[in-house]
Amino acid sequence: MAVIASVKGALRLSALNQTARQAGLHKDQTLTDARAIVPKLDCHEADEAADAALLAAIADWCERYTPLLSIDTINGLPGLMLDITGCAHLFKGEDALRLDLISRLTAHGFVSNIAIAATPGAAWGIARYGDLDDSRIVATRAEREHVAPLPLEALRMAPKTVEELKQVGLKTIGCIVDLPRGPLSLRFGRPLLRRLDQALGREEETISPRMAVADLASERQFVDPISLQDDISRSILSLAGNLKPVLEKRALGARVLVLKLFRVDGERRMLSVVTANPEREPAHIEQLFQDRLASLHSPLDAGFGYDLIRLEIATSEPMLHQQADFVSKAPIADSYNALINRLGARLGTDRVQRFAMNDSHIPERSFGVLPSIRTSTAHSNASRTDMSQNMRTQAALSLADAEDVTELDTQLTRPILLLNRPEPVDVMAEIPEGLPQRFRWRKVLYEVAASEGPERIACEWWRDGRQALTRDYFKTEDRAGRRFWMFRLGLYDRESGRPHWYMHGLFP
Amino acid sequence: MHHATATALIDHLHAQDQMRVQTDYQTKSGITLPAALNAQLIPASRLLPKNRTVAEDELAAFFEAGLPSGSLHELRCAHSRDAGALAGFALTLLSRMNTHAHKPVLWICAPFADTSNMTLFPQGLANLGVDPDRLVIVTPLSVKHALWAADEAAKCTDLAAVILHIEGHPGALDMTATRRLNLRASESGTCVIILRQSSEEEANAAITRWYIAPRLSFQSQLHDGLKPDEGIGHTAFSVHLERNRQGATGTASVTWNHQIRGFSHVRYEDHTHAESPSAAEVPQHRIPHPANRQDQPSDMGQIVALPTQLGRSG
Repeated sequence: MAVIASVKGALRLSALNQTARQAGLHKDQTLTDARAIVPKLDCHEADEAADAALLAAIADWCERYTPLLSIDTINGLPGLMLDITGCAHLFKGEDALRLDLISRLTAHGFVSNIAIAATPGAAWGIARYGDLDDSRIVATRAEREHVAPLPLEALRMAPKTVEELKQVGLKTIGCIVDLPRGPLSLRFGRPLLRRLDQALGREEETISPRMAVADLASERQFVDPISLQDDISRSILSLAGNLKPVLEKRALGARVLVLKLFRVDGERRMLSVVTANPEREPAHIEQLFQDRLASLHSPLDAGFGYDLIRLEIATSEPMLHQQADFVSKAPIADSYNALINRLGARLGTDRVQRFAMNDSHIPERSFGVLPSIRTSTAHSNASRTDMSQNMRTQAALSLADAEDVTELDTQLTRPILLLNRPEPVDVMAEIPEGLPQRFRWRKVLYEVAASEGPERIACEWWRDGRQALTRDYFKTEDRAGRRFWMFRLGLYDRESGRPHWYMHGLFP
Repeated sequence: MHHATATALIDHLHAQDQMRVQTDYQTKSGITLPAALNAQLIPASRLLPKNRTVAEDELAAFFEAGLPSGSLHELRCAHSRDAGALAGFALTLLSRMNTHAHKPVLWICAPFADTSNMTLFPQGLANLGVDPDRLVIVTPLSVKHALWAADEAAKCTDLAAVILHIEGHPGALDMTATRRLNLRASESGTCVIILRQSSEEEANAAITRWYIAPRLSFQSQLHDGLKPDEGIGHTAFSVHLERNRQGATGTASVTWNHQIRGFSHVRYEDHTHAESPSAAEVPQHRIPHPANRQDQPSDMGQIVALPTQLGRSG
């Protein structure tokens, strides 16, 4: 069986399985040649996207070992790099970890080569080009003897440099290790030396992990995989309980929590919860995750069960320890914050919103909504944004006007309900700038009893262009007492030939 | 208790016809109106007619102090186009609840079936006297989630009010659900208000049920300096208190006076001339209920025992 891809204008084999290799085929052979040797070759189109997705799924699942992992596809050879510094003891040693990984991957049907070394370079080389019989675990400072017999491709260099070295006669890494460095770098470039140093440990190399690594995490492995919701909740409670003393010591509270559930058969599920205020209490955290689980469209499919559950704190904020009073039960803003957190966890943080003011005089653009969980939390003491300060000074000003001058209209000038999009209305009014007399909105005819206006709101020419039309707003009242806010778009003579009317809002 | 207090105060005012009341006024729900606010109220001699009934006292208490906390209330309007009056009246009642003036208000907007794509306008809210910064808007994707949110919010002690804005009669908000909301509200002391748009009268566990309709604005030369037919006067509502567990019902047409941020020009009307459509069209003994409900309330009325014939054939 082989996978074919179109390379350099011809269909070539890009991957083979063991039987195909034994039959004498090799990579990058053209398909016609391969078919000549093995007529009944089973060919499949190369699907890079699917391959990448599969590699990503394997990487997700390998997070059970360590969160620091990256996918590398240098020179077209896909692989994973895991940084297991300090994790090996959780799995009873590096050897046991390696065997565990091999057995799991084999159970899934993957053939894998795994090497463990003190530097990423050495591990990369040994995994791909090392001798299969050798022990694949290289002790610290023993890289040199293990890396020396490897061919030069194991140094992750460009194929052109490897070709040049081969022409000179250097075939293995051992040949170039002892050569003087100056002429080498002069002839073949600095990257060669850098890769060599990285492989031998003379230069530091770190991997950049796929996903942001959490500050704090607490995990639990289950010998007997669990799948019941109650068990998951209880394990969340105990994991959060493990994290609480650490958070208290650092005077931090969690803002974004991520729960990672690793299934026995290789899948991984992630759930995240964002809170409005730093949280430490295990009971609250468990409640939020229960709400989050309840909000999933389809229930969690545990398959054969989860054998590893990890609770990570992705973002944390300083949180002072609160002294609980003997008399009162809880701090005063606690109930409100807990409610906002729960609503956000269950409904989604973008469904719990507050108003924010924009600097615009077009009514529908003059405000926006922001998710409540991102803004400042408390309602009594916290500082408010400048825009809401403006809002309140405006309201205060209008009240002051009302008290000073009683003859000017102190009426309600803005509706309380606004249509998201102004709806077209059929209006009968005197032209050019008369008040509406009768109009039809949503197929119902309304007779106007009184109206006020116009209030002219000009266009924002810097946003909509100079051709944008002016709006003349009218507050109209019909015979039954309903009060509407509608506008005429465009001035009759100056801006458009036949201005249209729109309904924009309702007054109380 | 409170009727006595209200009556005593009003008599006092009638006797002296003062413009200002210096003492604190205790309303039915225990909310105390501070004396400074009283100074701005239109004097009661102009607020209530001289020979008033118990219903009028009741309504006056609501108009002065808003809805009592710790219970469930329902306000409804007949059509979606009256939504402005409905939301406006609810917000004006909210602005009268002074003791919770600094607490936030949770407004839960259940998704509407039709394309009434209206949102609250913060400048309009500020105009009316409600700080838009107090409002937290929750827009769940289904009515079930909206009810869950209302249940959770009713347990919270730090809110001034929870407003559930729904349309029609969803099957999930039945008698059990409203009883649960009422119970939670009474335990936590929050005021839970259901705003029902385009609905009919329905039996539920709310303490008070109101029917709101818009009214042609009351134009008065005395207050505005406007002549009739010149501009729109003060905002006016026609309010019918359909059911009140702890007092009498009544109908009134009120005007919201923007200058004093309070109600004025209350005209009480006889119950038989109420504008509620259910009273006019439907016979008195039956409350219409929605069709998609499992637990249909039974007909209210007399159950007459029919004499049974013991099995005797022939």
